[in-house]
Amino acid sequence: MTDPVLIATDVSLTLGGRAILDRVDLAARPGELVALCGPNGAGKTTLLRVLAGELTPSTGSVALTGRPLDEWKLRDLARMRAVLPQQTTIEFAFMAREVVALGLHARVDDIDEAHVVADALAATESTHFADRLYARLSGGEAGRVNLSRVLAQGATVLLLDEPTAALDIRHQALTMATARRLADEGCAVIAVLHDLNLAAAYTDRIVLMHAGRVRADAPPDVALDPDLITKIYEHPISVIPHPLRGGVLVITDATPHAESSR
Amino acid sequence: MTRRATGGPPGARRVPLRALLPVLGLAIVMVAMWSVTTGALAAPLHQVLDVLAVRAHLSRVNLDPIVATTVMDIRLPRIAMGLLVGASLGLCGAAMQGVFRNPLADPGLIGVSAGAGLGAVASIVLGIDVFGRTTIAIAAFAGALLISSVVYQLSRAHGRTKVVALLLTGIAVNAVVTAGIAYLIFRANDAQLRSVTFWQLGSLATTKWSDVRLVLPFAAVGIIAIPRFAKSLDAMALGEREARHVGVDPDAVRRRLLALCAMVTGAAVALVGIVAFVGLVVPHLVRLVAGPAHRSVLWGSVFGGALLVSSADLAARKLVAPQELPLGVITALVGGVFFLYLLRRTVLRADAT
Repeated sequence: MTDPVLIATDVSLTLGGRAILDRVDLAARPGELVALCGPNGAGKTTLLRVLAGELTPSTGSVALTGRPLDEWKLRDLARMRAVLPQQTTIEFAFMAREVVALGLHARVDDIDEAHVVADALAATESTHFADRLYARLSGGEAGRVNLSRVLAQGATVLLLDEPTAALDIRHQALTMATARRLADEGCAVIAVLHDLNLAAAYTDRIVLMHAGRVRADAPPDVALDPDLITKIYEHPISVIPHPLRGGVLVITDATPHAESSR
Repeated sequence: MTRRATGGPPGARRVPLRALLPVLGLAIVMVAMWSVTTGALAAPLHQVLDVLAVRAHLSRVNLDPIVATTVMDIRLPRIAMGLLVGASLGLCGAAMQGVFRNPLADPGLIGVSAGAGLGAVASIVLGIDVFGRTTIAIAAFAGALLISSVVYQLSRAHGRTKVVALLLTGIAVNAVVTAGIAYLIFRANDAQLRSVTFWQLGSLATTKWSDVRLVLPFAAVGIIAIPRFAKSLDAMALGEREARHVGVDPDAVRRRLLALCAMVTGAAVALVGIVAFVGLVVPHLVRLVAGPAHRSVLWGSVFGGALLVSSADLAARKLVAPQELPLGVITALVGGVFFLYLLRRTVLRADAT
């Protein structure tokens, strides 16, 4: 097995006296697609931001290719890793295509920029609205444009915060397939996902978080233990073998049971 | 997803910079030619060319000394100053809007104008004239740098500057400085009041070559240095976090651009007074025509600002001839009315969607 490219060691983050992250360990290897799952407020996005170098942990450290994040220059970091935030507000009337081209900022490799942008747009099926104004796109379309921007950055470590949010079923699948392909090509991809079935279908590993802690870090069929996820999501959840392919299928009940909520 | 955009064409019609700049350049040349030939003393273009040729030692024709003086010592420095001031204000307006990710920003927000005003008014009312005629300019420049750095320092926390903090600090400091100016005006005598009012209205009427020489280095530094930040400003349009993700440090860009703009606009307003709305309106217009990429917006605003101020100065001279309107009156009137139109359009469009 290859060495991890991104390693978080014993990371804790306390904000306003509250532990947002509590002694988290996480590693991602080239070729791996890792899902960060867990209920709202579990610390997924905070962990992603720590991994991105946006937030400095109170204790513990994050290293990219063996070097602590705070020793990296922003520009070098941008060549190595790309980040997809949950949402991006853009002032000024940029076209979708121009937004994607902003991802090229730190690139110094010899590339045909128009070609890279076109490929990145095609990968998210965004080509047909490439010349529309970003501000006029729907939430899902804007999400795909931002994913294209991240792809255009040409990084080998990708941190995606809810890349499938606001997407329809087809484009959720397309986005996950793109993440899978990038991992298969040697990228290390960490994605915050709410849909456990998407996580089960596409990822190599699920890191389940709850109250700032990692509660499971294992392949989907192991991590998605029905008792564990019922407990941390405070909602009855069943896990069955997928009827059409290998792997598991997560089924949630329609109404939460009062007695299981505590 | 929340997204917003202000201004800009609905589709994707964009005039490329290589087409925009020659057109603006040509318009500037035409305005300058009109401006140099017209006035109380008509100086036909061939006479102007003779004057230039003789001064450049290319010709030895006999000149009408009055025409020669009028062209060389009154009209040309005035035109040159209009171009420099316009380019400076347009460029810095564009840079500030990029830095603040806000199409309503201009150098006034960080206290440059108020600071320059305080310096100028203080030197007039307190009767400070240690540097002779340029004392007002030097005091205004010092005031611009001082107040904008106060705004910047007060808005910093933990080595970072939040845009909102900077804007609000700017508003607060502007209020305090305006109070200071008002107090000085209250204490002024009639002659001083007249000088203060004249400075505040902005005018190119008394420009001399020595004034142009004072402003030129600052404008040149701005025009050389500021457009280099175009790509960083584009990345910053994505937001603070996203700018960092693609390798741009927004704090560093902001720090440098604020310092450059305080210097460049400080020098411009110091010598000609407040020329309102140029920095706000010109980048807007350029964005409408050429799109929001900062290479276009910054360069377009250099040329557009120069064109607007030289045209406004021509109008200031012509509209009520033989008297002259203050330049700031024209730019504020044209700029303000146009800006209202833009705002109404944006508001109406936002309602429609």
